[in-house]
Amino acid sequence: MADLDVFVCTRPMAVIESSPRIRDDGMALDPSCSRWIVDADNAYALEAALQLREQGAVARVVCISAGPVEYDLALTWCLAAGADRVLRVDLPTAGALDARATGVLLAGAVRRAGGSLVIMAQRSGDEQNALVAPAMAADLGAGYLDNAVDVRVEAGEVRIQRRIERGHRQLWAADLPAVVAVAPGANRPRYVSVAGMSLARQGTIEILTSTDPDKLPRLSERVSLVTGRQRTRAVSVPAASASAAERMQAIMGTASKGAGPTMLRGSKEELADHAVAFMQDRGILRPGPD
Amino acid sequence: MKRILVLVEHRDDELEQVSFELLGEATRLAAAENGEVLALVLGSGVHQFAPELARHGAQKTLLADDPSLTHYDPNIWLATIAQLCEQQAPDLLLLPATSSGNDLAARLAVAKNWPLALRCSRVRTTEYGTIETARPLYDGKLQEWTKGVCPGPYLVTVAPGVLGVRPSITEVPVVTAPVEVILPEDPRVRVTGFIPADPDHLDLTEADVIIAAGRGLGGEENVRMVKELAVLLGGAVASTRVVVDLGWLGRETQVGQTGSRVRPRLYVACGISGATQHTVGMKESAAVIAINTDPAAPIFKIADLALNGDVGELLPAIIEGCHGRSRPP
Repeated sequence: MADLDVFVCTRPMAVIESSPRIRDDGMALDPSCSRWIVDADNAYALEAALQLREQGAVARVVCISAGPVEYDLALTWCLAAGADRVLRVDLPTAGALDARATGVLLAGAVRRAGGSLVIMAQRSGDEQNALVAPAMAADLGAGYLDNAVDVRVEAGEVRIQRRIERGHRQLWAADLPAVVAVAPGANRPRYVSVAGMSLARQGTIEILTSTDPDKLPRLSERVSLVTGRQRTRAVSVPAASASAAERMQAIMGTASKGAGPTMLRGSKEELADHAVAFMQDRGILRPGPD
Repeated sequence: MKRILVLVEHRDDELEQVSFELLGEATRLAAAENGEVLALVLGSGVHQFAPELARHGAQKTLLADDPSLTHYDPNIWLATIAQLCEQQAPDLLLLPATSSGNDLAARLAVAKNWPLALRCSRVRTTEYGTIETARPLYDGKLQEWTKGVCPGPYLVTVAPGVLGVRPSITEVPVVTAPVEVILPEDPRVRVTGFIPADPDHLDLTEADVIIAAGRGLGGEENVRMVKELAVLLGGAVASTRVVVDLGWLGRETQVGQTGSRVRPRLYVACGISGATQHTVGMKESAAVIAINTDPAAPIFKIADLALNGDVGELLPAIIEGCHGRSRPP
């Protein structure tokens, strides 16, 4: 499949650096309290694509993003990591579209570029949506494979190992076209050096014009964005009977969390019974015969 | 809300706790409008679940019982639930935010153009009857409230452990109804196999139960007991840096500052003193059992169950007590 390009959808993630502030309209994060960084979850998707190229399963790795100029950070990082080509569908602001609309927009760009294999992160690190990939798949008429920890492409077929609960795996396959969402931690992304980023900044980011965002289908809309409640989990007052050193440790947070549980001593059978009963209480073990 | 449908998650012969959490939330939401709570179970041999689901609030349990539903298959699940939703017309479909629940909800949303909210922490109905959902963003620093902008059942997934389980009712009528299972022809995605978890290679960050080995085990020959207990409990084997340096276990098992950071339901620390470099990687475990001969070991300060004894003697007794009582993985 040497003529196959794999498209990797990517974008940077916003991290809140100080106390979160909401814009006056209550609908978005105030950009002054956040900055853009490379989204580690996207790194797993890019690594999976780069490994496919190294295996000879695909010819080129093309990275694509839909957003404002700030998104070039992620695309530059992709170039530094080894992507062959990077594209950005230009949007005036970040977060202007819901996940469904973003998926449809990206699907259109991939379709126009002749792509039939798309790889992306299971979800973004900041907004944690997991809808862009299935929306793309639906729009492209492609098979959607999610939670992938291993991706193989052979003879026009994509095969994945899919992570499910408790360490089990399912094996899924789909003919091309296909959209694969890669699970966090699926692989070990390659290191991108500062020098590599500097060199990549000299690369070309192709800019595509977007469809009118208002014409894209949406499933939901934001009603409001509020800062998370800061909840006090516990108030600890050092015991008056404690020594000055112990009270200082408690105040400074260097002391242990209380005295800990009661120390259990006894025969090995008695202690084992305690352990088994504890595991039963926690739902790890089934109740015993009696 | 007049009608709420809850997708029940189960594994082999056991209902998952998140199913009870969702039923409790559905009962709360339905109560305001004297609405109806329906539980939906897909699987093979699932009739046995109906009484327990009724005790947790299901007024009727819809059973899709077919051998083809033994493992999650997105094609069959999607087709069956889509048809059921069109027949039953629920206002809200609550699903667990698990690998299958999230996958299914996203597929349904884009296939049917139904509103969707993933990994929610709260659901409410406004005075105008609109369903709104909240979910954490930006590492929990912000909370986003959303509402659907298209018709159809509102698909909402909720992470396990967020809502908590409400007390069950003892005497309730058990009402069930069969659901037609739809087997789509020529599906785009093929489910081709299943690989059971291998405790020797289980990703620590995925494990529900972790049995961790420390130098207090006394020797490499005792590591097999740690592995045996991990197999019994369907868990993973972890270690301290010292154990890795001694060559008893591989570096991929290391938990701590220079290893993995884990948050299992149960962490059993076997012969681990509890140095900060290790505990920083496991202190968010939901429950910790610590076994150590040294009563002053720091690990006991963060343990929920502190067993002062020789791990080499205790582990065989614990293994014996666990035999035949482990839950299916």
